[in-house]
Amino acid sequence: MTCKEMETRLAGLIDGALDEGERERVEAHLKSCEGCRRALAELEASDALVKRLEVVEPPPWLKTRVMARVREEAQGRQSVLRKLFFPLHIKVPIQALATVLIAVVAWNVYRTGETDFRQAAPPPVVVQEASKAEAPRETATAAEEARKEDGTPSREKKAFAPPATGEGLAEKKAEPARVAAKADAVGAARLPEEAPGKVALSKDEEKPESAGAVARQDTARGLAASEPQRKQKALKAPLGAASGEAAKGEGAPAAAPMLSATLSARPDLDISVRVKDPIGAADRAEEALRKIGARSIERSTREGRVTLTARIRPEDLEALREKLASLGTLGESAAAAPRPGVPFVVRLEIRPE
Amino acid sequence: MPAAVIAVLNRMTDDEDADAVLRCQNGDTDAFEVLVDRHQKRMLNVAYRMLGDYDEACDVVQESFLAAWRAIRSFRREARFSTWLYGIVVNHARNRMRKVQALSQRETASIDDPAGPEGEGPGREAPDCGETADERLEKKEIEARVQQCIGTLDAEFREVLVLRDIQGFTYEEIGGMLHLPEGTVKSRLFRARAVLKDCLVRVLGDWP
Repeated sequence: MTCKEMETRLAGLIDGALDEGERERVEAHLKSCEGCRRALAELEASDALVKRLEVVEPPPWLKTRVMARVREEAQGRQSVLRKLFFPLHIKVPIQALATVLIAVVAWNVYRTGETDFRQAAPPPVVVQEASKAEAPRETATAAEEARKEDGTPSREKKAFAPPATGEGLAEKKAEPARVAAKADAVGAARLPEEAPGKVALSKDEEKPESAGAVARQDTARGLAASEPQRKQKALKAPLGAASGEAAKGEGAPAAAPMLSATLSARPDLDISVRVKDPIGAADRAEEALRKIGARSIERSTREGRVTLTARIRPEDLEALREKLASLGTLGESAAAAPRPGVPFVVRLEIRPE
Repeated sequence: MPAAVIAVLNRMTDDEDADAVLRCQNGDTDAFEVLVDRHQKRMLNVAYRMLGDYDEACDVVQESFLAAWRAIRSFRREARFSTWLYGIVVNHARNRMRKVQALSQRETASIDDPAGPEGEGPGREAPDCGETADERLEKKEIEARVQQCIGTLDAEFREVLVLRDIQGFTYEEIGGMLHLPEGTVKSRLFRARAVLKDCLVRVLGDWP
């Protein structure tokens, strides 16, 4: 056995890793080889140095960092499970429930607010109906004349106002009321004294509140109406309720004044009347307007001036001028020339001299 | 009862980590903390002696524990847990060592070194540090020389030397960690000891 071959065996000898026979052969060689004995000593010294190497301590943060990352990964596993199942078990039902809830609430709001929505927006169909009601009126001149002779003021302007909406049930009855309004417009022409009373009475039973509202309004306006006239007005009030009189009442929405304001803001003809007593002259002018069959008569007083706005027929303009001329000094300004046969808006401004 | 079953049962009853491992496999991170506490120091020393760099060793240990946590459900108790765990850290340290060596080779080649990279294998000569042995050499300096010589060993020689002569694992345990037969472990170890001795003789001069 050469010294070169002994080298690795000596490395096994130092920790007893050689089997018995090999160990004996190595020990026999060592007795006769100075170089191998020296090599063994160096191996033992080297082994001693290695075994005396300092043991290093782990830094305090090592365990902290390891566990932080381990716990992070452990939570990550749970997060994956949560991502997979959370939407299925909790999130989606909550969203679905919220959607259903919103839908139900919206539906209830719509249902409960449906009548309010209708009240807020005046239906144009009423104006159309009122316009239709005008047509038979043209054919009912005889009845009108009869009413004029009786001194009963016409409340035709009510037909241009939106329907009464202050009463809860008024809207539901609107359509029958419109029909009744038309019937009344025609019926009034045919039966000036009896038939309207009958018809109106039945309606009055349906809408006592509207009648009361009109009665109160008339009182407030200080109209010098006789008892029969008041009765007739009250009886005709349901007509007004259908055609808009109650819109001026306490419970009327803002839509009715809006229509009137539009009428007043665009007169086709302005007539100023200078008088000594504007209030008294305004009463007589309003009466004159009614006599010539003016419609949508509106009256306002401001700083001693009385403004009357009404829609009249062109053929009645001359009669109106004559009457106004008897009250005071006239002045006119026309925005547009009245066309024959087409009603136009005239504004009378009665002011003190 | 089959011998394999008996062997597994013996290992389970002999393994002080068995209970903590079982809890870890059920997701108990506190149980893993017990294992970290128990093994971190020895794992760090294995990595440190293999790498020769404390910070690198800490990093390797950290990654090794994390890898162990990720794989602990696959641990089948065919060996002791510590054997399985140290096998992981040796593997990580070896991979890190190769990366460092590759980096070192590139840097050395670029710095006009005709001798080439150091630490190519057990057969290579140890670097001549140009210093003779000095009785006044401090212990730290001797340790540095020893570590320097360990660093000259190839990875497969270095790891068996560290595991056996520094950490004191048995040949069986080392074979289990490295998945090598005991004979291979021994032959590598003897060769590593001889090369280390030659290196120390050159480094330390007139020694011992």
